[in-house]
Amino acid sequence: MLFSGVRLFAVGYLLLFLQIHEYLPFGKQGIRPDLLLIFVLYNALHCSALLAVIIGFVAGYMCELFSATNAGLYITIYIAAIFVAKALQKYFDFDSIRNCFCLLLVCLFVKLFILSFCFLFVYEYNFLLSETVWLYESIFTAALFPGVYYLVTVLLKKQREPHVVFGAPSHAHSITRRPF
Amino acid sequence: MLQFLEKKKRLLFLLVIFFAALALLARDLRGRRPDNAFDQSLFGLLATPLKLTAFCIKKTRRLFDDYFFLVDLRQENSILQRSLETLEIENQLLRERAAENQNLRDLLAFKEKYFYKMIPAEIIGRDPSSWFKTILIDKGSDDGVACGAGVIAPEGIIGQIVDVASSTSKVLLVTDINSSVDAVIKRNRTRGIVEGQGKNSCRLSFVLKTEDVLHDDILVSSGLNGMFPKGVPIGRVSHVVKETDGFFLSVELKPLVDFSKLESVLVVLKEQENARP
Repeated sequence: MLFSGVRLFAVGYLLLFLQIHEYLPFGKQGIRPDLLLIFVLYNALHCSALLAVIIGFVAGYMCELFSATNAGLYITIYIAAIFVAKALQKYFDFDSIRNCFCLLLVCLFVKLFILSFCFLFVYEYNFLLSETVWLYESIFTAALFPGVYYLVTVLLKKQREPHVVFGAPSHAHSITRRPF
Repeated sequence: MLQFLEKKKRLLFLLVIFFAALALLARDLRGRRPDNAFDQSLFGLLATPLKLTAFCIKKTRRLFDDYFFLVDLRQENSILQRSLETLEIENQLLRERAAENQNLRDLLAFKEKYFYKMIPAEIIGRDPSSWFKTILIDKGSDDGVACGAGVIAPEGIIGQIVDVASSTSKVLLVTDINSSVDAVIKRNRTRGIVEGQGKNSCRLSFVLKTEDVLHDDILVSSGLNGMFPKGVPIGRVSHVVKETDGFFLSVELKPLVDFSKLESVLVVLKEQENARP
């Protein structure tokens, strides 16, 4: 349990590290992809709702520690994305990468909705500019989605495999796929 | 009712977390997350790998630069020698002028309340989001950096320190929407507040329509808030509009610093006069 938690945290931190490090490709870019959103979505699809929300909360909190944003903005975005993923999981099968990609696009629009609300009522931000930034960031995130999703799958793969005890899958696996 | 709550307690718990996040967001409307020890410690801890890797990459690059890429060293050396000679002469002239200036200041009994000590710092990271503009530097409270300290580069103002951990700090760039700096136009000393716009530009607020502001005017820090030394360049006026309604001019300016190419900065440490050596 502790090992799984540490591994989840390490993978999340690795993606944040890739996103913000000065000497890595995204550091110098004005627009950075939201790699943590992909991580959060992966966990929303593969973990229980409660664990996914906790992961979303921690991911948003880590993001805000390094950002100039107000407390709660990224936490709200990630938790809203998890809610959307869990709600859609009832009706769609997200085993294929194509469906996961569509889910990412939906979640990017959810992000736009929350950001637009904040930029209209909280910050004195140029609304048109925020939409443009969102568009570029979304294209960047969507372009990197297959690679990052694969990386997260590989890094967290062992954790998701069913524990085979005397030839029968354990109960743990069925819990991880429980619908919302 | 209780049965319903019992049945839906998982969903209710998740909704509570979501609304807690919203409440957190609403609490800090138009303000920033208040500093607390937990946030600072966690920020310091999470920023340490960034600092270590940045240090290693920089050292490796320097090794390559120093030992492997020394092809045009002799030619460069002679150019630098000539440049040094010119600068030495220039330096002598400036020393004389500085001495003259000092004498005049003494005569006028001009005393600066503060003087500024600066420490160099390397950039180790950037803001994870594309909307907000912050950078992470490799100097923290152990090096004497405190919240509110100004950060500059030879080209101009960078921003101010907003969060400090023991060995790292977060700098809010002058272009961020939460940033504001007191400034004057170099040409005619017209005062205003430089506010970030989120993109790579700022606006000059609270300048009356009657003031004379021209395209390409340079803005410098006024030195009034004690955060930045007086006269540090901020930006160049790129757009002036005199709108029909309202009292103020709409002035847009472009920072003189290219933030995307920035690698190292100077942190301005304010010290009391009695600390002067």
